[in-house]
Amino acid sequence: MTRRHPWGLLLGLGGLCLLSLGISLTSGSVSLEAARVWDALWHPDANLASQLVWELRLPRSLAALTTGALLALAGCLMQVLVRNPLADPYILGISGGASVAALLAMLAGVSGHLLTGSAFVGALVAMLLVFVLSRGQGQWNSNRLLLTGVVLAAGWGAAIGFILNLSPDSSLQRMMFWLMGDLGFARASALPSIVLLVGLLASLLLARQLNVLTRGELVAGSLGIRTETLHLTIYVIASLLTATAVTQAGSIGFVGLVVPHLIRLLGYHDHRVLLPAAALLGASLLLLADTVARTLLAPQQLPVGILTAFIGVPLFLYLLYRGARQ
Amino acid sequence: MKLQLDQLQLRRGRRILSQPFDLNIGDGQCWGILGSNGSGKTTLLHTLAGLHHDYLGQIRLDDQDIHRIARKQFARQVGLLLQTNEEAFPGTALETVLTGRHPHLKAWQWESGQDLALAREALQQVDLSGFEQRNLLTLSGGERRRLYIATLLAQQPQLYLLDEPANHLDLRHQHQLLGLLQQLCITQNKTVIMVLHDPNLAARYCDHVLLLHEDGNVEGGPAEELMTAERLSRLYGYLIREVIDEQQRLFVAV
Repeated sequence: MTRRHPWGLLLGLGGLCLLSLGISLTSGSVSLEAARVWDALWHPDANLASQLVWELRLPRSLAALTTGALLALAGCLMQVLVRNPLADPYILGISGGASVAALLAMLAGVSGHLLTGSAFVGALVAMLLVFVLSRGQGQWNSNRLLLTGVVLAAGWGAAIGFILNLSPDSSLQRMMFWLMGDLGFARASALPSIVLLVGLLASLLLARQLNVLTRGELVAGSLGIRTETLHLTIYVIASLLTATAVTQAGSIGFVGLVVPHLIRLLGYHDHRVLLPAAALLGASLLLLADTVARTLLAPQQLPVGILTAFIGVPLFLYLLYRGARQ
Repeated sequence: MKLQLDQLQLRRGRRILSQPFDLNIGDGQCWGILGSNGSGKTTLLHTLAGLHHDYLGQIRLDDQDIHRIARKQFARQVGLLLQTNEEAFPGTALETVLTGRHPHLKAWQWESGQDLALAREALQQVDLSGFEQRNLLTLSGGERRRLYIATLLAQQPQLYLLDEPANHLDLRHQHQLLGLLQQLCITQNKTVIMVLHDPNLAARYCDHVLLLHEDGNVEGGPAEELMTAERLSRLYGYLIREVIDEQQRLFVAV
């Protein structure tokens, strides 16, 4: 909408996604040349390269891409919803609910689809709880929502600590990985991608309303927006995106908080650009982080949440510093 | 456009701010709302803008209850300048002004060249040409105030509601702005209702005034008639004297 046409940015970020995908597919305990990966992609057969690509690296890479995009998108929406730059997808305790349910499931010895299923149910319970408790006298109020969510998140945190204390040592490491976020659990499923696409389209339709909403509730009201309905819609979309991401990969930190700010620091505040750009950048950032997480100390794997912070912190500080100088 | 208030009684939570009053406002009129702090000036503006449901009586715009008009259609007719704004994620001046075009656009529509031209013209009207790409954070209080007025101009409503538009503005910009609003009424037949703290600005630029007294009594009518030193003294609970020279009449606090 301003003089800078956003297509260049979106194309560039799309290219970054492809580049990250290339790096991810070629690196690992067995390093494959690009040509062999390319060959394996188009002519799947029974040899090792083909199996590595199709059964291990590609599903995990796609899971990283969707999870990163889900988190960045949810982060953008949560920041607008609670009008706070410190907000991230987990601020209202949705990941807390998911974690408690997932840990309980692990304690009960459950794994596979039942584990992801219970995490998703936990996220939905947390989402409903925040919604019901923050309504109060019927009036929506972003401050009240934020406080309710933060307090409930603290409650979930205590519950997580309690469960960890009860758990036998044998399951602790698996639990810690889940809590720090780990894509090793992710399994091939089309569902997260569908949620991502629907969420992205829905929020793009709301994007201009989001632009107005950042200017304040009264401004939005005076410009013809039904703010109560808009708040509720953002809340539902952001929560479902978060629930899907957490179910897929645990609570991966940093992506949802920092990626929206990175795009803003590049000078894009219009949500019609910000939302898709954040989704693309979140996708590549998480995929790169995951690739490093599984190769840096191979064969040992690191929780990806550590790497998102290692990559994100200097990137963010650099842009912040650059912005301050301009 | 015709704005009718029937037995309107302003409320804020449980507090009753005014006695019931009637008022008819038509095209081309420029109203000034005067009253002491807490007398309900802002509440009145917000109520007229459809942001409060908590009032008694009826407000009709062209014979239709304002809450029965679709919000977006209403926003094409009625625009509001708030007393203060809080931006969560401040963007550039041009991006901010373009939000004023929101009610004129469909959900998936992008701003056209014409919207852009209107936004630039609005910036120019408030003396902010060349500020297009400046971030809001880099603007001074008065510049920001003018930017919000430009946003309202870009909205192009028929009825302008302004809460203390002269706030933060230097003397020249105060008069430029109020002159601009007066011109909107005279040349484009728009209607302006604004809260003012300076009775002299009201006397000079408004043809009608609405006085919100502390006891809940509301008086509305032609400025010439209602603006007297005696009445203003009562309104503000402070002695005010009228000074007349050859050019204009002035109200001075004693």
